[in-house]
Amino acid sequence: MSVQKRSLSLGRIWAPSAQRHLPGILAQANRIAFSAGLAVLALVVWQLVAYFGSIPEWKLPSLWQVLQTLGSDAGLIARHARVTAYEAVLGFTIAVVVGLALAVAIHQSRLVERALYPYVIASQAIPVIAIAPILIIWLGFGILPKVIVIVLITFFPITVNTVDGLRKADPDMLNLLRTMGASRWQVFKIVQMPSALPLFFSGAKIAAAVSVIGAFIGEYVGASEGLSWLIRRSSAQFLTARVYASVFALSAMGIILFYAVSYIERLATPWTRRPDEPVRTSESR
Amino acid sequence: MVNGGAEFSVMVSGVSKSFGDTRDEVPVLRGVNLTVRPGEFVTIIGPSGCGKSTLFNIISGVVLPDKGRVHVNGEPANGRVGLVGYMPQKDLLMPWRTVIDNVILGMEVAGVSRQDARREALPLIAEFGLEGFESSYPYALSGGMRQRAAFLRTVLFKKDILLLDEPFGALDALTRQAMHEWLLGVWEKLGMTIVFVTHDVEEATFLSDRVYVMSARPGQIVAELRINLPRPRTYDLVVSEAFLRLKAQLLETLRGEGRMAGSRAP
Repeated sequence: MSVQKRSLSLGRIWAPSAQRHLPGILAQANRIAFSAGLAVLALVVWQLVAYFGSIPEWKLPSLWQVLQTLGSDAGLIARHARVTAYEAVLGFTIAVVVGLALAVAIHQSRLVERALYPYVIASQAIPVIAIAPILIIWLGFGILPKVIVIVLITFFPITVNTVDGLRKADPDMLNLLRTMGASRWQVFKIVQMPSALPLFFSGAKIAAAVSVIGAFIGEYVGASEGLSWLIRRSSAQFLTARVYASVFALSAMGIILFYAVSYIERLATPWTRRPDEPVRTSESR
Repeated sequence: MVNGGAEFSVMVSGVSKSFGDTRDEVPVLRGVNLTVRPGEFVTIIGPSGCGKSTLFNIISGVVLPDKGRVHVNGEPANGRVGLVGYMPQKDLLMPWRTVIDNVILGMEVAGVSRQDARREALPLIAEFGLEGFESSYPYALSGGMRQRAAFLRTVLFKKDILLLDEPFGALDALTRQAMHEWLLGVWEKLGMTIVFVTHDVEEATFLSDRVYVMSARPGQIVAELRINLPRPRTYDLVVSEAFLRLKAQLLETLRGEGRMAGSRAP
């Protein structure tokens, strides 16, 4: 996984534009225009197929109908989206804490690594959809089983990436700190933790996007509110436009979470943000 | 004197080291003896892979010798870290730390608060040609500036003995010359003891009070040469007859060693 994701066009746009040159902005606009153009094309095709294809509305509502539903049912969708978003953010946050703690424990202790790492990997082989109903039976219809499902799905990329990041610390830097008589904690704090940060964020971005899926699965098996519940209810009633509108809301949530983490990443790793200026020298001094 | 009156800042006696397991042992150092007096500039020169870096790791305490003893400022120092300042070949500036936070690394490890350490480092930033860059990240620095920052980090570890392992190896010739004069200036001003490793004959001759010549692996000290050139030195010196004579002498010793190493090879 690349350490610096340069292709996050939205993140680039948010950066302070002090040193940005005009050609850079144009290239940026170009890239966004391309990605937006693709979306517009898909939407137009959808609208045309729905309009001229004489497909019944309950099978494929037109884009316009979905947008209308998004407007008319905004309150309803927002109410359920809030529930799902709360679960996703809570689950993601717990996954970050648990995932990081696991990664550090695995990295620091051979014993923990041997004892736990196989289970960490095995946890991903178990289909979460299969255990979600069990969690509901054990823990009821509250928020807890949903959060557990989200944590189960999202801690993994965080742990695996962070362990890799911690291991990638430059051995020469570790040696330098050893010559200075640094303690194990100092070595961790000064070298290993910052070295792992870019990869941790790669994992966290995956986790953020996937946390919405976790919330969806958790709700799908047993819930009385949330976007997943709304989608189930609406499809049972053949309110297909509302199903589409809810799916829109769900994916928008995933995108927002992803870019929120990207934004935090940019703030937390300012050294990866090189300005587009040549290196200055003071050799002549 | 900072070293408590010991005759030698660094004394290495009979140090041997091998790597690998007993069946597949690679001897790296064999019976190395050397001494460095307080305030002296001593260079160890030898072909690549002769064990110079291993010797430094042993002096700085991160590697234990199989045989022999290391004394720093008169005290036994086998396996004792934190007694000397060590500047490795790579500058090892941490990309996530600003220049000022990179140079205070040693003080931070020693337990000084970042605030105090920064306050102490700031006046030296200018002296090391880094003014205006204290809050920059290392990527904004040129090669020479990176080495100066790495050297300042070593100085600010505040040990009177510095081990410099080919610090200018990656620089272009002009930058290198400038760095040599600058290093001698800092050394004369701050009065520390320097042990320098290089495989560059001119660098060794220009900088040092004394030069130890090391053989190819397993590394042994095969010659010792005193560089009786006046100080302070500037680069005009390198075309003087005395300099060229010493350089030729050193080169001859080194090449003799190279031939021996060549004839020893299977």
